[in-house]
Amino acid sequence: MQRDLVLRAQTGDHDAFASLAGAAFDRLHRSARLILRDNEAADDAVQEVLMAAWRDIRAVRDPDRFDAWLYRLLVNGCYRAANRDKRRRTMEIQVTPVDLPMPRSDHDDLLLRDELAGAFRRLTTEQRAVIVLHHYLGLPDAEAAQALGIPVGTFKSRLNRATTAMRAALEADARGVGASEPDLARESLT
Amino acid sequence: MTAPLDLDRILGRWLEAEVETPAPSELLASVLTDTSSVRPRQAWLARLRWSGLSGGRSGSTRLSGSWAPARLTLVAVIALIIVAILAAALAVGSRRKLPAPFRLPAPFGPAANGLIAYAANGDIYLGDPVTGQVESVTAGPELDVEPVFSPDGTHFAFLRSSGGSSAEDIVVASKDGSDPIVVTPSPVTGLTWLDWTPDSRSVGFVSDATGRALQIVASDGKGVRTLVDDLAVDAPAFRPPDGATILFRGQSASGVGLYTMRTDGTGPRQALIPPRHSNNEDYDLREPRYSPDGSLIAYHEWSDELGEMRLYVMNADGTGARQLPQDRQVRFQGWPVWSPDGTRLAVQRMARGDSQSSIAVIAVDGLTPGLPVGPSMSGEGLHVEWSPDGTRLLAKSDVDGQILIDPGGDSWQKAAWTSTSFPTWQRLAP
Repeated sequence: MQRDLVLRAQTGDHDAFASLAGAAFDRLHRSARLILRDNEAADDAVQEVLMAAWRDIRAVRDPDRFDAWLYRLLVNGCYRAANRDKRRRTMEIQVTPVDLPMPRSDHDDLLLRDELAGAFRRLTTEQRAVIVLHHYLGLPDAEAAQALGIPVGTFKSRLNRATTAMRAALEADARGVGASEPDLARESLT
Repeated sequence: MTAPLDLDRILGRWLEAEVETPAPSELLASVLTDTSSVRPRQAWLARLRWSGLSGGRSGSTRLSGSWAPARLTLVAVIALIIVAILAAALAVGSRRKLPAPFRLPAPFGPAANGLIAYAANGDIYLGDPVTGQVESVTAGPELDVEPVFSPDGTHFAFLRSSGGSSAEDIVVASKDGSDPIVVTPSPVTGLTWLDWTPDSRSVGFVSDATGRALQIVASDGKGVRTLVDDLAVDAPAFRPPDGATILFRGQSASGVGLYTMRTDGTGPRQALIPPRHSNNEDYDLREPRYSPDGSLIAYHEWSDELGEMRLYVMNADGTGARQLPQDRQVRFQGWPVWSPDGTRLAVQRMARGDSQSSIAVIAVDGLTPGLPVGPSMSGEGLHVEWSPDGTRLLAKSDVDGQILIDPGGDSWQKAAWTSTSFPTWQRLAP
């Protein structure tokens, strides 16, 4: 099905492209939000990605690998967006207000989420991209490496470094705010 | 004691929770509205270098039963002529040899190496391949891409768009990025080719918006003229040393062919290779290139019979075509780029059953097989050009970064910078 849509889009069939874009849009946008931690920048990046996807749809050599090609555009688009706008705006994340009374486990979950968010934000754009491709999109190593334009071995080492960096950031936070509550949160979320 | 956090277990769930809010549907609607008013770029600019050659595209086989015998007869006649010419040349020992290095009026022939211009992060940068130093020469919210240095090295042209628009202006700036001038009267959609005229005073371009008409605009922005509007033109080449003639692949209902015409618009258009159909029309005869002295043309031609792309050199008047050596396992050999001294061609290859392309350097005299150089390159397309002094090749695919390759061997190194578009090497004319 997707293959047919790609082939049709390559002939200039915009309806086919709209179907492809519609199917991928939500996934792309959520990924961009995670990588960029900025809703406006994610809007820009995804808009750019889809414009480029339509403009260069004929560059897809293997229609069965359209998704991989799209992810590569996404990663490159995110890199450009991150470099274009060095100002880091606060991401609008919908969270439960912390001043409401809530069960202990929910409180612990929220605490850990905040910790994770803080640590994730400290990573570089490239490190976040590696983690999003692997942990959020669930791409096999080879596909993630292709999306990043790097060898598989390099991807694995980058993923390892990104995870290590995030763990180090979490531990630094834990040392800063005290160890007792994060420990409880870990028990809860894991 | 702090319990170790199993990030591998929880990251996926946490990431999903972080982006529970759906993507804004109005953004998708906006993008689709924007894209509906433009057409996809031709594969040339999208850097697609070859399609799935094994199966071919549906509907791309247009060789009719009644037309095939005529074509075979034509091929046989041409082959006989080629054999006769080669035999005569061998008999009298008059095989043409290029003096090396030959001297040509600037801006052709070997020259000193300047800086490398490339696009990254929406701006144009100049990189020094010797020191690795990089300098931004354009800035601002616009998206600046595809820089192309003028033959005299004093200016570069590039494409500029803004606000997410797919329409682009052609901008000409001095070599340091100063005095940028928008030379196109209005933004152009679907640009597929851009290059300078040999005198560095004008820029030629082709766009889908005009059905791939060939147009030339003065670098001061004063006037656009159309040279060809009845054929779909692809990646033309100006004939050195004076640029009075232009060579291009033209596509029509009759198929694809190679044509020449005078750039002042006078005189008839000549078909060096008459239009014909093949199973691989997307790439057949793409990007023919004049030798630096303008006496020869290198081009690739698709063979339906063998299912492979083959590399040829012929005289500038279309006579004397001869195939250059090609290993049996190579199914694609093409996209020739002349060395500045005109003695070698950098070509791209793909072996049967391989998905990666590689670069080889072939002597134009055809006496030795091509020399593989540099690493295999991944990605959908590959751009290769020579340093002005002929001592390096500059290569980039849409996946790999810029790579500097020794054309005489297999040593290569990555450039000190990364870019999002293909680079151009400044030529410091003698």
